[in-house]
Amino acid sequence: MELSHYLKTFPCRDDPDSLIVFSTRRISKIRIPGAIFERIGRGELSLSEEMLLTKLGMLVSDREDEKKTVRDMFGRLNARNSGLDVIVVLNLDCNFSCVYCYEGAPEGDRYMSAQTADRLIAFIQRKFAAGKKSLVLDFYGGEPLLSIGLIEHISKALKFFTRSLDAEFSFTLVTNGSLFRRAVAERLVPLGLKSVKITLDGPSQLHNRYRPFKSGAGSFDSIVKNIKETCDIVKIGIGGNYDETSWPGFPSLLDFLEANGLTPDILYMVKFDPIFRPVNQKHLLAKYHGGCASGHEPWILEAEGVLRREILRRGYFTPRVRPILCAIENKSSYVVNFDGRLYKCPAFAGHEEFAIGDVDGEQENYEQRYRVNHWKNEVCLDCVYLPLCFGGCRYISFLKDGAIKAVDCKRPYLDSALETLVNQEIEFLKKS
Amino acid sequence: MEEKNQELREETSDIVVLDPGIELTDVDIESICCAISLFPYRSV
Repeated sequence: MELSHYLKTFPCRDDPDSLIVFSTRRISKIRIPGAIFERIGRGELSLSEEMLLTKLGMLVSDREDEKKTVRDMFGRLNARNSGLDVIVVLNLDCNFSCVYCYEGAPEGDRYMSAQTADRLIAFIQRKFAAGKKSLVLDFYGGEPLLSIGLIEHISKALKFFTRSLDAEFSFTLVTNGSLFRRAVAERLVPLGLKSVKITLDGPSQLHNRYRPFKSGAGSFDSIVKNIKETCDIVKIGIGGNYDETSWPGFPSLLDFLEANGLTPDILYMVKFDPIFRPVNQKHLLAKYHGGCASGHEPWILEAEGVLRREILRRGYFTPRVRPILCAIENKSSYVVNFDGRLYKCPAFAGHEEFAIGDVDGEQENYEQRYRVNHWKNEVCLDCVYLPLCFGGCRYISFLKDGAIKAVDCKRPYLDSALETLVNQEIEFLKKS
Repeated sequence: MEEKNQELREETSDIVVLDPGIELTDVDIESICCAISLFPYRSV
């Protein structure tokens, strides 16, 4: 047996004679005395130690076989995936005027028509012919609840359809939350609404500055009222977008949520992320000058470390450091824009060069356009961080270069941030 | 998965398992690859 290729070791804060070992492939973590770790290389482990480390993915029989397994992972996952995921962009309209939104001012009403919705339903029914067992729709926008009639129409039809095949059906909403009143939730939950993600960009004053209604009025109070009204009948997660100036205010939002009964047992997830700005498409954000051009800027490391800790120490769930499987790699994942055009990633919706057809006909061979295997190069395949990155986010590459020219390499970020993130998880797993 | 991982925590006398992690064969491609959580810079 030999050490896995995908291991990172860090000093142990509690015990200077021990190490923390983290598997980037299996996200397993151990504390091990340094002397025992050294024995691994000499093949001097006891049988029980060897069995344990093998079970955790830290010892493997052949390191080259292990690397091949990681390289072929998407092929295996696609082969056994019995689900179909469709993100539906219902409109590009919104009742908010977020300062960092670069959807731009819509030219006319860009709403999905009833006819396009019926074509979408037929598209999904055709896709299901290949023996799928579950369907998840994510309704997205713009603001999806401006198209609630279509949400009901589409979900009713597909709930009936999947039931006839004894398959599972559910849908989610990514909404600004201002229209998600109890009466709306009560209409949608019986149709399959499973969870809702709502964005709060900090406490009231901060949020209202970044995410006002179109009128300029603050939206925070309306959103919180709606969350309180609906959190007993549907799972609600909170997202938040921060920049260099706003992030220090976010812990106050967590205090506010706790004080208002929106505690970890009520909210299924809290996650804050930096606002990215397009480097080569500055015209898209003419009035907003915040945000970051890449995930490697020093202030992001500080902000992420502090905010993630604040989330975890209060007991909220936030995603662990884990393998990132981009939707573009998922052969059973589609994005349908309001006009019926098909894409592989919602961030590219509307960029015609990334359309892969429409709901009436899908083009083959989108792989080259989206650079599906761009991480299968010598450097990435040898990288210890490959399972946490797989070439990163293609849209971030696109924002940076105006095209998917190269991978969005996460090595500089993970070199700086991973130890902190892993130690946070160890600290709060201990307490759970 | 979180609950399962916590239940699986175990120790030997010298090596402390802090997190048993996940099997990649257990990874649910459709649940993890939710692109929405990966691009926070959109308007919603």
